[in-house]
Amino acid sequence: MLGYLWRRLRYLPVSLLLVLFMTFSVLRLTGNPIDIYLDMNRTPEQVEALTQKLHLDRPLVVQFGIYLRDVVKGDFGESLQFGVPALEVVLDRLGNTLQLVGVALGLAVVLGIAGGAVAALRRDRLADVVISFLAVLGQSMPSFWLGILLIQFFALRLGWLPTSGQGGVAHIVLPALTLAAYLIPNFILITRTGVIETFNEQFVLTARAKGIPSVRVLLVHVLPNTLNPILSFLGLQLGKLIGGSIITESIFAWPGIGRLMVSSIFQRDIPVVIAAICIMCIAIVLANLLVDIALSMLDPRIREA
Amino acid sequence: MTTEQRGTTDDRLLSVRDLKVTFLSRHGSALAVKGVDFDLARGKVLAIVGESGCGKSATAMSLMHLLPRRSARIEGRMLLRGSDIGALSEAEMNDVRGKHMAIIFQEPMTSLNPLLTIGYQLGEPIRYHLGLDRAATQRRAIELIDLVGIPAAVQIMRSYPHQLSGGMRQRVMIAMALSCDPDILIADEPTTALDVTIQAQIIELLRRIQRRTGMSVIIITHDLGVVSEFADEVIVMYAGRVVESGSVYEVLEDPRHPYTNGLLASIPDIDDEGERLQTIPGNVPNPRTVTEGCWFHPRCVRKGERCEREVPTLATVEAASRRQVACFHPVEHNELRELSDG
Ligand SMILES: Nc1ncnc2c1ncn2[C@@H]1O[C@H](COP(=O)(O)OP(=O)(O)O)[C@@H](O)[C@H]1O
Ligand SMILES: [Mg+2]
Repeated sequence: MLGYLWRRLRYLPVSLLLVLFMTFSVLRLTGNPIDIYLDMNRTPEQVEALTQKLHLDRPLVVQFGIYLRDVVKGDFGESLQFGVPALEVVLDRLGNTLQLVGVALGLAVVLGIAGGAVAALRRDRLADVVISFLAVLGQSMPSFWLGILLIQFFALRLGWLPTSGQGGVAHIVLPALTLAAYLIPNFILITRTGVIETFNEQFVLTARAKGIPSVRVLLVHVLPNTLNPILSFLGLQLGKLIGGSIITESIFAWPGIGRLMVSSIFQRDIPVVIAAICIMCIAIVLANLLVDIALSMLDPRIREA
Repeated sequence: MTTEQRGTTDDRLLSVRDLKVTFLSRHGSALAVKGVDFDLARGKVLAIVGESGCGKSATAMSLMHLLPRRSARIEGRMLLRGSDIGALSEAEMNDVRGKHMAIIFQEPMTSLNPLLTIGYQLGEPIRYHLGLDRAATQRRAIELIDLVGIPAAVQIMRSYPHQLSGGMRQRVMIAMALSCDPDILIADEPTTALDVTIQAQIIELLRRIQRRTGMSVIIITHDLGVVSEFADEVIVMYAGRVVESGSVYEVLEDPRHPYTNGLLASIPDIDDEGERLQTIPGNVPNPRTVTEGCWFHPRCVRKGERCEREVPTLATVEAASRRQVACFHPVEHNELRELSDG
């Protein structure tokens, strides 16, 4: 198990190093940090203090080394907007993002698998045609557009749900649905194909021949055998999901990492931006690991390989 | 038929009458089973033989209601202890499948769910049909694994299908089929996919269990050696029809239909070692095509003019026995098999 974790996680430091190197380079190449961090009314004392703090008088390589050392200690620098450590600002919002992504994933899994299973069972009938059509339509609809439509309809016209912000359960419905929309169409189509194919498997015939109820045949024998491609797809789409969460959080003013990052970019709060990117990187790698663990829990053949 | 008039108080467990199976597809319909009749007596072993594509599996699968509903139409009567199971719904059929009638398939490698342990899959029908609790289910499953001759039962319960060989998997399938003491076991070419040495073991196992439990068995095979060792009765199918039926002894010793004769001539015979095997020239016709007259006549060495026009019906050939043949020019009594090559 430890060896497995090591094999899975050994590239994480390398990815993070690359991220830091790129953000650091962009930061230093786009201009003098003094212009970025300090406004026009700066005093020479401020400039001197900042130069000392960021070691701007040292060679670039040394600056990067010192920067790395600080980051390893969890010190991304102080947020320019909030005056507290950048990492703290980011971690403060992490819970909100996890909540949004978690609910969206739950929705996507339930709606996507249920929709795909219904379409497969009612293959070529009305339900299948409608579900498959919506799925293909959903695949080609940009999610920010869907988000706007949802706000327009459920929040503005019907007034059932709040347009934005965070609060009770009602607040999370629309953003979670918008984010889930990244996955649902593909989940539906993958599940539909998988269920149709699995029903042709000999072991499903065996299960039916035992005389166990059809629902059980579906839930115990068919669906688990269709989960592999869904999980693999999810693993591939994690990056897109994080990207989607940035857009969704911005549309719905959801106080998560994505929205924090966008506003910090406008505020030129570079430490926060970098901390946010690093946390997202770690999140993607860990989520991929979780997907792999889920796959191996599902399938003994993967577990042994 | 005389069998019809004997009523339902006899020892007939299963009676199939005029069973037809039509496969529907975009390319049209195919009548794969064209009206099959047979009876299975309690405690007897019935063999169904015939080349591949003759409708043996379609017959077996329709008895279990396992053909895809959307693409297969089944007609005819299937009387299990006198009541027609042909009209049962899927839910009603679940009380029959696995409990009164069980089936094992040709492909043990793909017949088990790769994600679930053997113990779980073996326990499923036990829990469902017998309503046993966890511990009792486990005990019964271990008992069954012992019964089918797999060592280290407890360990097998925890293993997954991919960890077992084909022969082991087929034994597991047999254990599963036997779990609720079915009245009828259908074995659809249970050894075709296995090594020759394993084949004999599996047949021996089936025979031993049949003797012990007294269940009825329908064995589908194209191994006539298996038929002679294991079965009491045999029906020979060709292109979706029964062309000959009777007791194993009668049919194998004294085949009357040219097709049966040809099948017998195409197996190696210990008596005439070294002689070249005679195979029946040609192929089983596709059920989508239509043949005028007897379906076998294009491949038949005994065909006459009538064979090209009329379809022969299954009829009793000897007053004293129940054996039936569908042929206008049956092989004469005790005529030598060599005649089949004309
Ligand atoms: N699911 C199916 N759809 C269409 N045709 C089928 C299907 N299953 C079997 N057939 C056709 O029905 C005929 C009989 O098949 P089968 O019963 O499997 O033969 P056997 O078991 O005697 O080898 C064959 O011509 C086969 O192609
Ligand atoms: Mg077959």
